[in-house]
Amino acid sequence: MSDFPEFTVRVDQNPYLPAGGREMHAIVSVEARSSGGPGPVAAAAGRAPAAEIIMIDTSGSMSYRGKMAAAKRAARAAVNVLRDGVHFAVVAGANRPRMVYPQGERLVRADAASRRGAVDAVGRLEAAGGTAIGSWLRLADRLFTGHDAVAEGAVKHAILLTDGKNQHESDEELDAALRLCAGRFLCDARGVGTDWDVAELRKITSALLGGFLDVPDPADLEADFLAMTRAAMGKQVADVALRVWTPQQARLRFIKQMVPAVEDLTGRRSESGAQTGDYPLGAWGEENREYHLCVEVQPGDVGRQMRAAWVKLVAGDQVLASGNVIAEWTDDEARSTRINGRVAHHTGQSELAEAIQQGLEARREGDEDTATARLGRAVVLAREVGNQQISGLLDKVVDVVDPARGTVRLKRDVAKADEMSLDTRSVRTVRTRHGDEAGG
Amino acid sequence: MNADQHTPVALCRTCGEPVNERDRFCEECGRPDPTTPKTPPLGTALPHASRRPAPGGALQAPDPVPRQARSPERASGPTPPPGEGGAAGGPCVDCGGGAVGADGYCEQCGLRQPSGREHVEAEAGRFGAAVSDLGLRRSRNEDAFALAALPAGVCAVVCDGVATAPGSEEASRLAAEAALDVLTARVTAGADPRGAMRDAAARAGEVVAGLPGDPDSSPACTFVSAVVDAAGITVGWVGDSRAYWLSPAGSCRLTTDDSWASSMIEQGAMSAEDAWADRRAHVLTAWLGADAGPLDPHVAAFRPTGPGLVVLCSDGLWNDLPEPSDLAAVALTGREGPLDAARRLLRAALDAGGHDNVTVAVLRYPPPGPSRERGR
Ligand SMILES: [Zn+2]
Ligand SMILES: [Zn+2]
Repeated sequence: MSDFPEFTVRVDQNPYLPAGGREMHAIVSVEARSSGGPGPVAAAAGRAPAAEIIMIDTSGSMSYRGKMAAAKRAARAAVNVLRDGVHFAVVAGANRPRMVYPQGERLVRADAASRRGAVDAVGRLEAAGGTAIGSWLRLADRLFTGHDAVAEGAVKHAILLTDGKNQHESDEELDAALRLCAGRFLCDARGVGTDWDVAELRKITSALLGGFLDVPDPADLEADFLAMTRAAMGKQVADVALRVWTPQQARLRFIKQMVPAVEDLTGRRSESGAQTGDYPLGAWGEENREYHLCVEVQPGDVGRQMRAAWVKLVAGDQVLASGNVIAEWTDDEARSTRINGRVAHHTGQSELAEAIQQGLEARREGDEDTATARLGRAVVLAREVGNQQISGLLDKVVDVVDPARGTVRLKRDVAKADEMSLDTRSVRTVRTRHGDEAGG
Repeated sequence: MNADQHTPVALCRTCGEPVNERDRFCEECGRPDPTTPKTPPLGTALPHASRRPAPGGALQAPDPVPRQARSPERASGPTPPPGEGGAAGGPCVDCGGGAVGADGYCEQCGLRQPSGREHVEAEAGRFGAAVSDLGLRRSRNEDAFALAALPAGVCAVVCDGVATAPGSEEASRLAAEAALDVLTARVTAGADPRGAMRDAAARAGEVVAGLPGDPDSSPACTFVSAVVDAAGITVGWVGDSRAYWLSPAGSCRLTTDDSWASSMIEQGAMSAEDAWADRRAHVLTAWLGADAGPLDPHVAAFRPTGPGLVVLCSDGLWNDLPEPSDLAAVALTGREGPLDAARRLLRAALDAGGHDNVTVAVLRYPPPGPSRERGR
């Protein structure tokens, strides 16, 4: 068993509600720091056992524009940063998945020899055939399941690279595979080129508690794979959940991850007690994440105080950290109308992601009025929350006439890559400073 | 027939006058939300909570605090059971079903339970009385008082927990009780009240400094106490809780605040107006607590020439009524009992906004003799 990192939970909110008020918002920030202190030895000691599967799309289209060569470089780079003792495999995906390394359906322990073997095998990959991602994920699940007996509590992580849509199996087949794999392993994905489907990768990585990014230029793949693999190698605890207690008669309206990216967790609830539900958060290394929680409570009398939610970070039965969301009713309007700066910021980021996705969807459907209105709103919000990356991406899709009022014109010629990039990164948020309580 | 006539009558939790359950304000004293219907009658579910006077205004000495009786007669604020919540471990007074956790919140409905300190009253015979109230803007009462009759007089302590330091609710209660213990024991044994006062403050300081707390914000409170006997009035204080002398012949403040504004004015560095307008005006320069440094309580003694009242109070009262003449106008007008005077002062603070916890102790000078002056 590894040593868990030290977790801390911090709650930002304005606890004051007006008389009769029922909706309480709070930002829950979770930070994990290595308990072993700095230094590579301590860090290594704190790591959980890990298993890593690298899945490379080898469909026919990968042979164009240098994608296959870039994918091989990326996969080799990833294999080379696997630390000794990690169990791994490399899988090639097409109509059917195929073991690249090792031979036979199993994982192999990483050491100098197995890394060299994997690098050689990756070098012999060739592109042919179609795309059936559900079948790739099922193979990954079989490999991880076979490994479970070896290392209980291991961080199980997969990297998925594709350049196309899931055309060689039905949506139902993919959905069934996702249902099978959800909760069994984590998966981060990369879409290379411009022929893949943003919504599809979003669905896959959302179900498998991972993230995805667009890599329009194959040359950038290698750096991306390195970063993903290093992050996976840094995980110290495999399965963390956010356990949320709410008062009887209360309703958790939503809980969303906000940092590093917007992800609605509300539907992932599994009941864990009379008034508690667990939301899986996947594996954790040294990192910070932030969650926006909204709970609807029964109003209390002015002057009364209520615990509106009690959040606990749990790994199995172990509580790693906890925090309280408080509600207090007041007739002091100055207090009840004050908006917590961080709640406002994250509300803006949520709305920004929504506006972009709706705007782009409308644009694809030819509804230019809606597209103009939604993307115009996105321009305003991106400025408000200070998300400069999104502002820059919006500039490639619309001409901004008045950035303060959100007056925009849709650009006639938009590069496919720019649109996909905006769609993909719409959920990537910017952090707020912890001391930032401004907003009223 | 008018249905309202059959509405059960409740009692205002500030002044004790009958009010209809649905009244949003008490007609007698103007307190908003006078009955707080969701809270059960204090004194049943919360064993040490306040006692209300009987309707009709017939004042009775309250029962002694229902725990081991002490000698001499003693009355003080309630003692919550372990944990913060008044009903910790017991059933929730709001939903009836949930258990109350050690932190005072119901494990079922989530509501923080009343601590029993929302409104507390006590009397020490006819010598004195005290009232402590949450006020209208705070969710907890961090003020506390302790009050006891002496063989030939009365003594009282008022403490105001520093709201920014967690644990101060406990600090003020323990400080008041510890100081009262020392005062009653020493004065009853014949000690000079001034010396007893110093010992009492020192003991209270020790108790607060010994409370667990984080080093950056230890539990803390202010302190003001008085001994009133036939020989005169002795007051002692640390911080900005105050003592006043109120009499028809003239009224004055008996203490000087240990606060930033006070020291600016004293040094002649600023005008009173400017000093009080400054953000730092209320910053304490002395208090009880682990981070307070060596304790040097102020002690002063007086011998008034005529009868009057000694008032000890937290800043929840004097913030709104700083002038001795303002306090005298409220305290000396109306029914004469010290409890009536304390309630009138509380009411005045609530009428002025009730922004903070309010605690007032009113002690009579000279202490009434064994034969009643007034045939009640
Ligand atoms: Zn009243
Ligand atoms: Zn309850």
